[in-house]
Amino acid sequence: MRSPLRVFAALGTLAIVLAACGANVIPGDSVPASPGGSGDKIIIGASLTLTGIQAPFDEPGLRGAQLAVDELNKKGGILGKQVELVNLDGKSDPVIVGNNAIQLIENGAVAIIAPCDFDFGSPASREAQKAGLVGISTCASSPLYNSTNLGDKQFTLSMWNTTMGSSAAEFSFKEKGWKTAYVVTDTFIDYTTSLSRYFIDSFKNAGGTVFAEDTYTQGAQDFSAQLQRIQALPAQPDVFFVSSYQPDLGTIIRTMRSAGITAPIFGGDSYDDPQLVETLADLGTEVYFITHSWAAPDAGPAMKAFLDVWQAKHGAAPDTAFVVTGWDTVNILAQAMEKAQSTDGAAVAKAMEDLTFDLLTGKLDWSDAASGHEPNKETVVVQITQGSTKFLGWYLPEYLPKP
Amino acid sequence: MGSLLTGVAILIRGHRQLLILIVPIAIFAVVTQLVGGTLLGRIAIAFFINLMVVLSLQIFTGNSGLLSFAHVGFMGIGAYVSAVLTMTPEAKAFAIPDLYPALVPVTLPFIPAVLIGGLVAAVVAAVVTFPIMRLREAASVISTFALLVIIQVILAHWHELTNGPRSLFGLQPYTDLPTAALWGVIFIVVAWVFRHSSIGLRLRASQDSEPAALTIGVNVVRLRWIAFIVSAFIAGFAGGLWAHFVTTFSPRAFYLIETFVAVTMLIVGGPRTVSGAVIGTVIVTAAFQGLRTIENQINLERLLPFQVVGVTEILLAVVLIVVLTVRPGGLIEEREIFSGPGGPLGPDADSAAKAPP
Repeated sequence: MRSPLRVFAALGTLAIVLAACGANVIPGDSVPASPGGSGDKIIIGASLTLTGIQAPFDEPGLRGAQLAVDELNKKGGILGKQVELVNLDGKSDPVIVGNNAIQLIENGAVAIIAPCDFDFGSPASREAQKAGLVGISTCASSPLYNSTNLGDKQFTLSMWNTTMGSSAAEFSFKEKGWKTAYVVTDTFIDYTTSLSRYFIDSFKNAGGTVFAEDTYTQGAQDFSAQLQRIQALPAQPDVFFVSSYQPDLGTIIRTMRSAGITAPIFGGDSYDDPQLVETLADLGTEVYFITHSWAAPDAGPAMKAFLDVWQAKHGAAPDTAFVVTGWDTVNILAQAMEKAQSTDGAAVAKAMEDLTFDLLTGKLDWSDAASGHEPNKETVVVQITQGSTKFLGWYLPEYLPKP
Repeated sequence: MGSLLTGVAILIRGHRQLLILIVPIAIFAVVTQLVGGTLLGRIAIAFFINLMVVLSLQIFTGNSGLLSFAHVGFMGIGAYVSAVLTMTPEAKAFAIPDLYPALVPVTLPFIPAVLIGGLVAAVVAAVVTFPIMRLREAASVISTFALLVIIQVILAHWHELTNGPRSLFGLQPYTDLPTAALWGVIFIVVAWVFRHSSIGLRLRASQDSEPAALTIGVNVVRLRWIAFIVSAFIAGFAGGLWAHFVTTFSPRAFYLIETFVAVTMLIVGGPRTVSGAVIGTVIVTAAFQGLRTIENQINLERLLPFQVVGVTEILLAVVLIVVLTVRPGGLIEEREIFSGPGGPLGPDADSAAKAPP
């Protein structure tokens, strides 16, 4: 019995000692700031995920948010108070994300930044809503991320996928003059399936004709059956909307091009992938996609200023465009708190509804809580041209399909 | 009533260790409920739900000796079934637009819905697992893993029931600490009784020597099957509680990560004993929360010049390796905790079935 007892005792002691350390999370600030912000600084809480499957989307956002806070503090902070950003790792677990939000709120956070995904982000928003605080996801693009589901103080920075589909449709029809479309939908995940639906709805709404919708399943690595159906069409469409993602997306486009199909191909933000651009390097220029932001100086003066700040801080350009989501999120909160002249959740939420924001991810105007805080947001149109990408401009669709 | 009390009294007298397991956990639950606050309350609820999943694994794996990766899949079945049953027709119209019309108006109270979720998981287990029960060792483990994959794919594609890979939302947060704690304790007793029942005893005998068990007339396949059905019920029940705790989830929640958490808890504690399942869950939960706090503290106070990320996961993995190396059978290996020589069923009750090494 000696050996098991010893191991058990050692592990048990370890566990208890570790757990006992859990008392004070936010250093030097045991006095919680009241919701009105009577403390000497403003704490913005974040439950972004730094480990697990969600980390690639959240971790860059956190870096952008931290830089935004540093810059705000150089300029005097929010409402004359210094800002502190406190992030607790959400570990790609919805329960921990929610627990973090509770802990942050108990420690005086006046707003909560939630992960870039509905499943992982909504627990943080729900806790923020319960505490009467604003919660905002850095880039959850699901139309489920709305104030009807989560509460009247909850927002997402991202355009919904409805906007993405509509932007692709209206840009094709109105700017490019493509009147007929053929849709290929990867049915493996919801994102690609619903994006096709929004595209078809918007394209028809604009006055275009959709010849047909064909399906594909991620992982099949064989596009020949779909290709035959395309080749059997009486007339070729003006544009193909291919809603899929890497790695199979590259295969699909290569198969189509090698079969002599030259019509332009359009897609959503899953095309915003350096690997895809490389894959298509020898295949001409007729591939377009809609995405969230364009991290290069030609996107506008604000982006240029951001890139300069980033360069000064890190000595290199951002490695991923997701960093701008965190920067935008913090700046939205700062502007809204300044407008409201308060950190009170209801007042900040009202200011967020009232203001129109000019962001690195485009102009953004949320609808009111009754209509779901639908983000009316500019999108970026990008063209893939022989191994590189070209910024075609910001585009704001007129019509938004129902989620 | 009198005979019931007598029965309970006999159970208590014969199984003092059961009380040693239950009482501290019950006290923890009561204290947390009274003075714990929201955060500790949520950690406690998550603990009890994990405990149920680990107990369900213990009932099958601990008695039959066959590791199962499929149980979290049955947790998913219980979660979806109970969710469909408790949601209001309005919530269903939004969250599961393609739901079968017959199911739309059905709105059941919380616990009945969760019980039905467990029953459906048990029925599915009964239908699909019988052939698997004939397998042993690697073939058995791989086939349960395959079963997990199958359940995952079905959950992600059965649009009419689960809304496919999209998130299910609009559940009410019914699961509170008293409910989770009460059922957690109930399932400790169930696992305990199962282990000491004649089914449990015969299964454990088959684990130690299958040919020997067969020669004395033990129907190994059927007993494993029964154990799997019971454990699938508990896993499904735990899934129902979990669903009404997080209130938003998609099929990916019932896959590899949750499976490995449950298996780790069981292996650290010791799969062959109920005490092992309980103590493994306690230790892994405590270590996880403690490590997470330390990691946050290091980052927030900037004790190191860089951000520390993932220390929790790495140290937990190290703990697993250490336990597997030092005590391959888990912390509570063969005999239930605190079982002295004068145990309930004679001196060697817990190792009665054990073959000589």
